Amino acid sequence: MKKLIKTGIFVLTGFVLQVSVASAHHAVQAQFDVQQIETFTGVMTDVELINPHPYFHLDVDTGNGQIENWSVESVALQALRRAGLLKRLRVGDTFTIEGHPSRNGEPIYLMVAITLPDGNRLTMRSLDPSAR
Amino acid sequence: MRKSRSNALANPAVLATLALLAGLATAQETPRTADGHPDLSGYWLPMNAVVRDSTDDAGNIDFTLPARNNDIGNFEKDFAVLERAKPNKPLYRPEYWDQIQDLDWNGLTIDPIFSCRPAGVPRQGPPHKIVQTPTEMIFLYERRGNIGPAMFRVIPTDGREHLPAQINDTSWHGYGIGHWEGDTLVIESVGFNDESWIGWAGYIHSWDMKVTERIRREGDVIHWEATVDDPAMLLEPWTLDPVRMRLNDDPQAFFFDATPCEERDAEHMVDPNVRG
Repeated sequence: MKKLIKTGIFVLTGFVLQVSVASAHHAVQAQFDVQQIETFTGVMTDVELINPHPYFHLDVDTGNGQIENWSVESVALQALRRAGLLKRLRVGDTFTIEGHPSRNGEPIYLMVAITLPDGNRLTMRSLDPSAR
Repeated sequence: MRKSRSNALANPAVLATLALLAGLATAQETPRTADGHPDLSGYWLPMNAVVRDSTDDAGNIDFTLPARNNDIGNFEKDFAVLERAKPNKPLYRPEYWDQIQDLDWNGLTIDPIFSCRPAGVPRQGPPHKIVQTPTEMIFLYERRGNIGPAMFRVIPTDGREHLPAQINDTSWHGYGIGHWEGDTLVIESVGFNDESWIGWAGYIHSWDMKVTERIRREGDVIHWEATVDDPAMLLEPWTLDPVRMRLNDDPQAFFFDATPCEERDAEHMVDPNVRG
């Protein structure tokens, strides 16, 4: 069980990992309020496929006629790749994001789930390793 | 029962099965190159490599993260606890203790790998692909986890010695030269910078660090360990926890593209002292 815990979060999700030496980028609660999940829909304006975290940027109608560009920190690039998702993340398409909001109020979210234009939903779930 | 066993051994099908099992046992023997050394060539995976995504019939995908109490906030926090609890620690000279403790607790953004710089040798761990020739070893490292970026090392095994230009360099990965001690490949590396860390908990080192890696193959498993000699900072040599890798027998194995890394979180973090 310990070995499962000894890995980076965005690293671990979804692909072959190297437990022995991998480490995390940083604790997510340093930046995000992991007790809250907010949901919004927006039009993808940019997909940045970089390490250690890819970023998605979406134009979001905030409800008062204002369009704001919000950012989403994704699960690891390798995880997206291995799941064959990169060409399903197209600029101009509409996506729904569920994410942990930033603690400092900036419009940057840690992705918990993304719903693609075809309705498929990609989720990042946390399962208690001791429950297995 | 005895009769049954006797009959079984006389059965051609059983004999064929035994022959097959014997063949499998042979396959687990350590392969050797023409010069008699163990053949370390191949793609290598962590022993406990797992795939953690699943797709249902409708095409929905789950990326699963083990986190205590199903709380993502525990994941990296617990990682930090486990790292600090490791009994195998380098023993620094007392004049460095304050600095190491400070880096451990406050060094999140100082840790080179946080800002996409190399993990370096030995923190990078064992190679992910090895190409062995009679005179040199080629080590290839894929970006796995947050230990990156992808990199390579060319390690002569032809008996040469380090050049002054290598000894006097200040590099992330050092310059390794290998030799065989029995069936163990021993690699001695020098020429390091003093920016890389040798461990997560703020473990730094000097320019004069020497790293000795030992790699041996048993069947389809390689055993890697590394010892750090740095008398300027350490009271005694420190051997990292050994790592085992298993042969990736997937004939379609490949490395994904080495994508650049850009750190962007630091300026948005409310509490940069939360390590994990």
